[in-house]
Amino acid sequence: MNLHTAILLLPDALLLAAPFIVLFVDLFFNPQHDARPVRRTLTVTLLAVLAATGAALAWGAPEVVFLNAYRVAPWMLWFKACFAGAALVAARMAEPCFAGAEGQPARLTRPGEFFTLLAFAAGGMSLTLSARDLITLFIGLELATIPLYVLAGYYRRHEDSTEGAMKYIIMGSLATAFVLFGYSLLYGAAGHLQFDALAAHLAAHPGDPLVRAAALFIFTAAAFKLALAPFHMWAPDVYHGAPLPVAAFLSTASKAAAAGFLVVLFYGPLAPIRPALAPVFAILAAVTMLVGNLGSLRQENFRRFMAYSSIAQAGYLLLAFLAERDFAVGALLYFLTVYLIANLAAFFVYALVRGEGVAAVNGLARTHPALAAVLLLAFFSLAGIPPLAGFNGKFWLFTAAAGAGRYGLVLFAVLNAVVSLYYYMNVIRAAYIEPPPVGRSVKVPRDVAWLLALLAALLLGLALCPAFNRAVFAAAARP
Amino acid sequence: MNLTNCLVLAALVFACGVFGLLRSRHIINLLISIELMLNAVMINFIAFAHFRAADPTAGSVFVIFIIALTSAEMAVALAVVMALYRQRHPLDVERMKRLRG
Repeated sequence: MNLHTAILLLPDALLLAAPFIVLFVDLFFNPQHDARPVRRTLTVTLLAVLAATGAALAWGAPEVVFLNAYRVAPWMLWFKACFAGAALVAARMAEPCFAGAEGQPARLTRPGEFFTLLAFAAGGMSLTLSARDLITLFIGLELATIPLYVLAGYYRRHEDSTEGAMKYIIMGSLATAFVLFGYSLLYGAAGHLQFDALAAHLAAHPGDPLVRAAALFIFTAAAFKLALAPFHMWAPDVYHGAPLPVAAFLSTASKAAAAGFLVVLFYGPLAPIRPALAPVFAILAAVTMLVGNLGSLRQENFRRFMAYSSIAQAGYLLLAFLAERDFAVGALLYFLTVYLIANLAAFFVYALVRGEGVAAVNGLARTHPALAAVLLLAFFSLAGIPPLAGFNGKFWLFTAAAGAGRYGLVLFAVLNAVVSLYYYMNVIRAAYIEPPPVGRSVKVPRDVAWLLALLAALLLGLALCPAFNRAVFAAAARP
Repeated sequence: MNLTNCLVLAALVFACGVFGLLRSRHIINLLISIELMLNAVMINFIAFAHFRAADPTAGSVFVIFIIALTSAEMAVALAVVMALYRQRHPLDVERMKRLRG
């Protein structure tokens, strides 16, 4: 193995080692099973992953293929950095849940297992993206989802949490069965499990009905994972039941992983049949935006609200798949990075306020102006207001759809974005106009303050920084 | 016994799984339906490996991976079923309406 291979494989190696490091530290160096040392270990490992990804991207190398089963390309590194970053923020968000607040018992127990599972999920997502054959792809997907089932039901004695986890498991297993049925048809068509062989088979027989059926099965499964309408019913219940940090991780990293999975297949071996699926993408995108936006309008609970909001965002995200590969991947990377930052910031503010309802932030501007400002930036970015990075993300996605000649769909998406303004502004109105409740105590530790400041600065800065734009599209265009 | 027979059998078993998933109300029945769908997938893989594939080992190995990974998935599912059973006895899906989609 030469230096080049080693540098590109280092982020994956660290990300897959992270759960074991956390587990080891919890077993041998953490007799009281406190949350803080475990969380710090995870943070340090994930920071190392982020540094390694940055180094590998800066190295400017093209893709590397390892044992014909594992591939690392620059755009994948970008996704991996997103997973590591989301896990890092979610872990910081989760730490206070393990300490009882004001004499109450802790809401979550066993921090070692929690952070290990979080790291396993991030590692599995990274494995999914780098797969070069169907077995690796399957293992990655399962490694990403099984820990999430456990995390979604982590409030073991809470009925909402178990019920949400049960629904998630049933829907997730159904998606697994569909995706496996698709894989079996692909295997039957090509006779091999390697992506190269699949691509070669499709090049020789472009309209193979077996492969078309397989693509439909696989896309259905991915629609479940992305929570596209009409396969979105599980998302609000799961988010509602899951602990807040897990809901934040689900709505960001898990969504990015599902999008990455679609890129791996539909811009990889299945690329020749993507144009045939374009009408399906377009219709599902439109329906998903509408359902997500209409659903968000009447939500009182913050997590359900964010669930519908992220369903709507998944609808916009699907527009990217109408474009050609380089532009589509660039637009996706840009949109997902910004969406991750804004969503994590919004979730973090609610985690600090410790509220269940959307109204928990009432009057935040009067009591904690800095937190209210972060919330403002996050929701303005999600809504796509021009000076913020969220606008550019949406702009690239709409450009992708317009480039494919679907102007009607773009118009529909713009109208949907206008509808979404209403409910995002509702939260801002609550934070800035409503009177604050009596007796709300919000403590912001110093590292959290820095983290939130960083997220807010990124939301403002990325939009005004053309270098970020260039970096994203350059990473997407390199093979 | 040829490839078509096996594929038709697999499709029927898969359809039974989907039907069971839509019709049954008990959580254990739902899990059994999902197992049926997974078994259909395995029949597909073995049939393709036996009759058609250029690389028959890969298909057989994939089946072993499916068995291993989906049992991990089902183990988690049963753990959640146990937790649910302790909270309320009837495992009826119709009553899982605390959270409505």
